[in-house]
Amino acid sequence: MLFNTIDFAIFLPIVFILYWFITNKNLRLQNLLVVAASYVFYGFWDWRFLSLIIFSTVVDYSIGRGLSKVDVPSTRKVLLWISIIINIGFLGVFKYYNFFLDSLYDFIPALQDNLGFSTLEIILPVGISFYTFQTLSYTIDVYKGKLKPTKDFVAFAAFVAFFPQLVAGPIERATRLLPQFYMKRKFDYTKAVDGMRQILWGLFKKMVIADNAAVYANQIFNNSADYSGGTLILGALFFSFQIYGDFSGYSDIAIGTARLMGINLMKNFAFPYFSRDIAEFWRRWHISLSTWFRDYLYIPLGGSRGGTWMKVKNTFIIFVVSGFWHGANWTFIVWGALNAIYLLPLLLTNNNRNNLEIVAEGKYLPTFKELSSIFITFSLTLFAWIFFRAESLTHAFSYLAGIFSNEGIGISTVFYSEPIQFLTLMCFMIFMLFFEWVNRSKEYGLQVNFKRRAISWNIYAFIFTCCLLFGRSNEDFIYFQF
Amino acid sequence: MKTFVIKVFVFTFIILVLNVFYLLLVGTLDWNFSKRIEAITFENPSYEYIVLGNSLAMDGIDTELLSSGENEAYNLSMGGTSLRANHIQLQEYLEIASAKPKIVILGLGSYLNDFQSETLNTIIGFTMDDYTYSLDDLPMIKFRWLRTELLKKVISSDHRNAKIIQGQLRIGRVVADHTEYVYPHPKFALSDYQASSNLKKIAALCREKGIKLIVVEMPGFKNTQNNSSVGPYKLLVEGNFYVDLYNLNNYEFNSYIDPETDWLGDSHFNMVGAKKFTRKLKAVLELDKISS
Repeated sequence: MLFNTIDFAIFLPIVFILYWFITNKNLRLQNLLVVAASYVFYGFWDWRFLSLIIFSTVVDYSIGRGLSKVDVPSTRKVLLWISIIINIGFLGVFKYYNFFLDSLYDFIPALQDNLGFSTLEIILPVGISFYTFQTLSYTIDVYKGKLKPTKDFVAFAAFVAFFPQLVAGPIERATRLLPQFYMKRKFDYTKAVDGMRQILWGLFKKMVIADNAAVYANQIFNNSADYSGGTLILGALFFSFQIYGDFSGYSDIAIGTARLMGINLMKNFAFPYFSRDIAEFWRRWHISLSTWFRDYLYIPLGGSRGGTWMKVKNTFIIFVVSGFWHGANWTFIVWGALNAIYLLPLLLTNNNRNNLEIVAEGKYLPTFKELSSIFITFSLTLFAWIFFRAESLTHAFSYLAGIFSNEGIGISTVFYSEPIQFLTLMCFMIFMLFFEWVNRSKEYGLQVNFKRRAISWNIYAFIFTCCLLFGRSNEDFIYFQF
Repeated sequence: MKTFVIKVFVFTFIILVLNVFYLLLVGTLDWNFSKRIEAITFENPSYEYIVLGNSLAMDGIDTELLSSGENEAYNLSMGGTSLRANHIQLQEYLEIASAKPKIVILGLGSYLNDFQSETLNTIIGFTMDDYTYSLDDLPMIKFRWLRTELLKKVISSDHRNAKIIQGQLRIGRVVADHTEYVYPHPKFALSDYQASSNLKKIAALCREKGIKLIVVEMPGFKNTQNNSSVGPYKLLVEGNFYVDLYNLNNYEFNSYIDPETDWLGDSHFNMVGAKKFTRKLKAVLELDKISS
């Protein structure tokens, strides 16, 4: 089920009513409702893959119970590795098997005849990369003693499958989300209103910004050989807005929906396009994944404890792995590596933690220096997005060659054949940037308490009307494919 | 909780009211919508000529010029309409008509339209008697694309001043045809017409009611024009029953069109082009002769 559909608009109020009016007196029943609702939510896409989630839930719950009963370090390690192998094994089969096999055959063609393995005709289960990482975090934290293994299977199942963030995050840590299913939730009016507002803002970013920007981005990327350098730059620009609106919009809807149910999810985006350097960008973009890699990969690898070389090596590893996490394609790996290269000068000069505070805090506008830094950082990310969006490395390089070719910087008819559509999208993009800039110290772009209720209601009605009138229905979220 | 639920209800109510307002707005201001409402609320109509088709015919066939009297012709064609929808439109019209039309002219463009499409025009579907409404029919979602037409009216005086006269949309806007006639000369897609099951249904309905059906390949921009003869071609629709099909997108035949002044957009006539074309159409079809 997609957040931007009528199905979800019916589903959510039903779950809300059952959650707060029918099952609210019994915590176990309420958690059971969360599990059932989550399975229905996921089953709308493909009920067959529910078995994977249930299997993963049973395995990690059992391993958690096993870890609570075993003190022998070697046995504990075996249990941990069983969980890792099973979870990563699912990912490997569904997501990476074909890629590894194709890459191997490309590298050594002779093996194709001798090995006898052929690629699998399987579809990638939606959200597998997200819930796999979430369940892994539980087992690892239990293994490390950061978290007591749960005895409550229903609460654990709710933690694994919690529908707002099941298919595209934020990837929650067990230490943070699981305990919330142990406690009785109390309806909080302020939190619920805030949740609704965040859902509205997420819908706006997804339906109005991302899906409309996608029209231009897809047109240009899919026919990149036909366009001039100027148009190709605009194509990348539209894709950067598409992916931001799409993914941060999803996160906003997920966080807002969870808040309606009295559950707090972690912030996943913190206005990343206002970052002044790449390190700051990565502290603000897909925070739940970056911190997951930091906690479960970067630090176990030694982090920055072994000096600059160790820091650089580990940073490259997590960026390449992070790229690979996004998809089984060399484009994602290059995208990850490119970001690591961007970060390199900051790491070598120890400037990677320079911009920790909010840009131009307490001011209306940034200084020229801040603006220049924002522009440079955005340009670097925009350049990297070309690899992320391209179908293959060949496509990415031909796209880049097109930008720097002698075809000129003329703007294609793709924009002025439907000028009203183009101009309205530009206006909405400016509208979004304005709200996000003004509220950059808040949790999300629309987190404003207007002094007059009439103003706030008018703004909410306007934004919702824009979603209905200018949005596009039933468009998939990009991150579902990961 | 109570306050929250009440506020959600109030907000939902506001959105519903806005949707009703939007429906009224597009129902009044949008040409397709207002024309559809006009067509289904006719009281005992008795037009001699009925024009069917899509936007090519809606813009391009001047019904006022087609008939000598005021109420002799009506252009039922609508933008984005498939042949399936045209069949439904004709059925609906015949149900309420006090006298059946003598001639139905079906204006299409094989270079632009998919004759196999079973898509029902959203406005026609929404306003049909037996239509089952669902939440997907929220006007702001269902008629989302019409916002662009409304915005065009705000921005462009050509769109504001456009009028619907006897079902024909008259727009004065001029967009020159800068395309070139394609070499080698393309042929006219007769087989597309022949293969359309919905065209056969329209023909069968006309035959049953004793109405003469004439199918017309509408003129388009130069890059769509062909060098097949004007015809008429005999289109086999049922058993040994044929209808006449005129190819009016012949390159030489179209020499009367001024590419600088007669178009309002891609292969769509403006009011000037529509007048020129309708005069030609009348002459080629010998409508006065058939009618008498």
